[in-house]
Amino acid sequence: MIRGGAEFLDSSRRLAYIPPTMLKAILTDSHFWIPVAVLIGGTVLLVSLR
Amino acid sequence: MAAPVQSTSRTHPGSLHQLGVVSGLAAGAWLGAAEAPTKLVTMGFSPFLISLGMVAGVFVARWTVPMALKGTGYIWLDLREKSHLVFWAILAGMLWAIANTLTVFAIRDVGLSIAFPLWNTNSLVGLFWGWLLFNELRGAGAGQWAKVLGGGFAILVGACLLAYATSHQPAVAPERATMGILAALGAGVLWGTMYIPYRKAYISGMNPLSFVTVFTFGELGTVLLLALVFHGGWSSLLQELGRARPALFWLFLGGFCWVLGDLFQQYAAKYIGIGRGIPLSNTNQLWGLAWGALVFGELAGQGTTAQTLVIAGSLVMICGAIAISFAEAPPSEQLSWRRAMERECSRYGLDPGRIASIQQGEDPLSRDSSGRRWWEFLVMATAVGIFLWLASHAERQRITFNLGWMALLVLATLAFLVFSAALLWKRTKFS
Repeated sequence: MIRGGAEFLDSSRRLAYIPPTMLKAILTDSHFWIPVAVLIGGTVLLVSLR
Repeated sequence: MAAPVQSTSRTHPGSLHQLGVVSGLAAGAWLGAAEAPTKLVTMGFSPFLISLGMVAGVFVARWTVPMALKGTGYIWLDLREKSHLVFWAILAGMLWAIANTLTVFAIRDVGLSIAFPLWNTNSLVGLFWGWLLFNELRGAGAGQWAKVLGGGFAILVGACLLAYATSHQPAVAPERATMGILAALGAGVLWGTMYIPYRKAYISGMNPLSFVTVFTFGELGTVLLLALVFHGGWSSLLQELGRARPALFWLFLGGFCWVLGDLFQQYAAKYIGIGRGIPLSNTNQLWGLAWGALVFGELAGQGTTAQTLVIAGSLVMICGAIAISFAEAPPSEQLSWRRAMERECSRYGLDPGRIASIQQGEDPLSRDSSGRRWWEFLVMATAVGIFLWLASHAERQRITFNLGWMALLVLATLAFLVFSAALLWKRTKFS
């Protein structure tokens, strides 16, 4: 039981770690900024509708 | 290091197209069925609370269904192998939540008959992104273009006719009309853009079951935040949730059906792309109509015009679905898809051979993942316990329904589930 729990925590920790090179690849991916821009626009619209 | 890829299925482009089409149609059936339990909820709760209840049910189901099908070891491994997609999945969940909330305002301001066609343009927005970013329809002939675009438009027109025929809205207040139209259009753009992360994930070889497991965090987190903002904090939200407890089971049940529909939609997006898969799953409007009209008698007393519109809308929608079903991507378009996949592999350091095999329905990851864990049974038992606890508090709602039609629709929807799931298992092992 305890081994299983430790394994779970280890998997979670490794999943949460994003290497800097990967972060750079995401942030320089032009596709990424399209949904981000649309999300910001949608949120602004939603706030203005309140 | 990637394991050598061995063929686990006899898939070829034709059979993958059929698989995607069947998944898209099953998505329509289950997304439509998800509307039925929510109809049992007595009116009087805010749309945010109903949305939160349903998304909470979705959250529970989205953890248990993937885990039951593939196991947590597999899901973790898949997420670790393509960890950049975690960002994309959370982003997609947030887009869904904001779009869903915008539809609440759109219905309030301009009514369903105007709002629905506007936000249902999401499939055309998705088709545009699919073409622009993922090379969908590039290299396809005029015939394929006509079938996909024509089919997409036909499904959109059919949905508009059904929405117009089945809505009974009061006159729109002019001062609110502009904002309502903007809200509906905004929802369409947000949902259409949400398909970018979908396709991004699948041309990178992620399993749809892994994608939705993360997607649900962005979705539930944003819906919870919006419910808190619109309800004025925790205390008033919890108070209203307590008041809604007798209805929560029905919302959770709706959420569960929605998860199954959404999973089929994800598989459709994986195997035939968003340009073809999303319009097919948008046939959920037809199923929602069947539940409303046949089971709950919502069209009783409607005039000849409304009934004619319903029949015309349904036929147009069916014709659109048939057109897309026959629009299989030719080899030249498949080559364009492959170029998009290779671009992703190059950017994120993935193995193109391994990803190509996953796109063909292979499942190399299943050989690397270990067996079942003890906590999977715990999570499963907790999920079942939540449903049973809510069911014990559920109140029978005062609503009349036709038992015969209900039984028939339940059987038809279950038949879609069994047939599509068996096909996915046989050809891809839910890859």
